Amino acid sequence: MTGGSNALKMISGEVLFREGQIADQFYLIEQGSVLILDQAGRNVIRIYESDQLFGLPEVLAKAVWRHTAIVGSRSVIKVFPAALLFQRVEQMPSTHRDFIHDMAKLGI
Amino acid sequence: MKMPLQVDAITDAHPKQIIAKGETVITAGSSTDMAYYLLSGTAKGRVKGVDGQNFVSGHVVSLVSFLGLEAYDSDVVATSSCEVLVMPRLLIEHHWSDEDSTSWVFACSMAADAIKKHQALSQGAKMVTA
Repeated sequence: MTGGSNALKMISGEVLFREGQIADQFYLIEQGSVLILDQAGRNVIRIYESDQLFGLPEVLAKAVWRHTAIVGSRSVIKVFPAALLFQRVEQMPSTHRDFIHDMAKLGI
Repeated sequence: MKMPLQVDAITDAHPKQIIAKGETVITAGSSTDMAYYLLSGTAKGRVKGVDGQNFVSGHVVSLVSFLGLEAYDSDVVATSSCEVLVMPRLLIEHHWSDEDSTSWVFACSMAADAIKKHQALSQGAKMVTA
């Protein structure tokens, strides 16, 4: 699933997205790491690393990001637009589509 | 939560276990290279002695852990006599991907993400109550 994506090269401390922004992209970390900060912006509450895909539940729910994400180390991050996710989910057999939506609810 | 697969089509060639009430279906720490599909009976998750999720026939036991982790994170105990089909992960991945390969990738990613968020919340709750 690479069509419609672009890759960002980022360095430690750069902001990937901020709390309150609309989740209109999801991400695959090809190299490096992304840190999710608590709402005070002081502590790391989750870390995503190479080969991890994240942001699917938020994008499917058309939600806003609840936390700010910064890059933890020099990283290459593939960025996928929401439209690609909606298109792929729409193309799934209905049982899979329903399952993906149920899974998304667990992650919000 | 039920898996989006027609399990009937892949059940015949795989071993079934009969597990008595009170016996363990899954032990925490065991590899998720096997899935446990409940053909009949009921089971319940148990984390550090505390009751968790209930499973009924038609469920893959601890499906989210199966999809998102390398090892199961809680015990599951039969709450009635159970008939359980044990299926290799690769078989499920193969059938799932045959139906829709993106669905498998998304499901595994979202399961791992949901577990990560749940763990972060639990740790946060511990920090608040400590």
